[in-house]
Amino acid sequence: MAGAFLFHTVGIFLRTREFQHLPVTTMFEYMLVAAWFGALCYFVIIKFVKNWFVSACNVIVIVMLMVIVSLLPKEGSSALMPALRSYWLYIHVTSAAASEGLFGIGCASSILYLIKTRLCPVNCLYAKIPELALLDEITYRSITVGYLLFTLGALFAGALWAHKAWGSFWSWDPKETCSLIVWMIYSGYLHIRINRRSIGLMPHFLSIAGFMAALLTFFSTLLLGGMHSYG
Amino acid sequence: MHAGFLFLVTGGIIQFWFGDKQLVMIAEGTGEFIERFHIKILLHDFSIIRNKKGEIINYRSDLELRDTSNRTLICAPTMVNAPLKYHSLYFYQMNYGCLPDAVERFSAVVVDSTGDTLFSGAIPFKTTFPLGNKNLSLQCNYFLCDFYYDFESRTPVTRSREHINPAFKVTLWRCGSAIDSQWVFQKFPAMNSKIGRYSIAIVSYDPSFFSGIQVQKKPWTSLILLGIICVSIGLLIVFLFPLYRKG
Repeated sequence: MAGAFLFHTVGIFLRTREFQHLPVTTMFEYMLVAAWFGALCYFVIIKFVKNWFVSACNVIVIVMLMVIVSLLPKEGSSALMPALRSYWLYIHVTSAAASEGLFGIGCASSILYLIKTRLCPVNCLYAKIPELALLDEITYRSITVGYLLFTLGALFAGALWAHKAWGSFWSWDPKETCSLIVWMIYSGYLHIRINRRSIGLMPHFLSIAGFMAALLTFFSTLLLGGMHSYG
Repeated sequence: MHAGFLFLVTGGIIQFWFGDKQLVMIAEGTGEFIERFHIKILLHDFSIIRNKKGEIINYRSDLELRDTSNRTLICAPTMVNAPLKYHSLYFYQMNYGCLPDAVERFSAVVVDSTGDTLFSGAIPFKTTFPLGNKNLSLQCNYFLCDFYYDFESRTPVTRSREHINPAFKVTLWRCGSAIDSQWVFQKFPAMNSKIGRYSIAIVSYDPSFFSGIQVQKKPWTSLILLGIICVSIGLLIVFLFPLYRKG
């Protein structure tokens, strides 16, 4: 995993050097960076959680992201359109990719949480899956950091950039609308989790729904077009 | 944090109800009066900024704003990602294009009947330009980007805004009197290019641009910015210092 992460990092570095800008301008590059953040989270998790089963599940999420990456057009260009030649690009896109990587981790641990609640204690898999409290903590912490990055970086930095480049903070573009849905789902998760201190199933359903909505947000420009259709 | 959201929503509603916008296309060197904002915009220059590799990095319009009494309010450029702001009015560089009926300058070659080149060089549009020392001068006052002869009105017109068949109506002068005028086609140099015993060819031209400026009235933008700041600070406090909540 460390070797793969190293190659991934070198790949991002080489692409940055080739095109003279961070690889965050096409869907391929965006997913590549999101998967890189997911892999970074993997190392954080194995440092603090030290559970091979959780690590293996996170690897599945990263592999899933990399499969999506491999299916996307890989062409790049050093010639950025003027609207993208802004420092906001790096703030906005990098934090959005990082937050989606973290939401992916949250989704994986929520799935494990739901599986464990459905399993019988005598099942051999039951013992291998970490304690529910630990899974809940992983979900909560990854979503907490992801939500912060998503709100500040993806939504607010995006709105401020749109105000400068497009003339309005919010345009109800398909990607913006889908992002708002993602944000509302995770806001719901955090309100339930923080205020009611609930350890029930609802927050985990929201965590999974949030990541599914985040994937829909990613594909919304392919399916619906809009102002975010850059590449 | 929740107060910040209130500011955001209130600011959004105010901008939705009281905001306004209009897109204006202004040719270089001309102006446009926008009645709903009581302001006149003059476009002094439009330029495409390129880097060393020749890639377009920005579009720039040098604007001058005047009030109804023709008093200059502000003279400043607007660019992509850097709109011009005047009170609650924002001026955005939205698009640009080549004018269908004007050029900046054109390069012409004038050859006499013996095959000697009398002139080769750039001539500004709508300017009588002397050609060497033979008391000849050349002028072009009309340009059509996609020449088409309309048989109904019996006038040449442009068929589109694309520069598909650029044509220049040039007049050749000798000692202050016009020899003749002729439509010269850039892409068909052999056709219609003779005036008297002189052949005229248009080699290239620099188009004149228009700039698409979107003027937006956005009142209470500061309320939205205040909302963003409040929510950001609130989020940082809640998530980076969670112990305060636990207590």
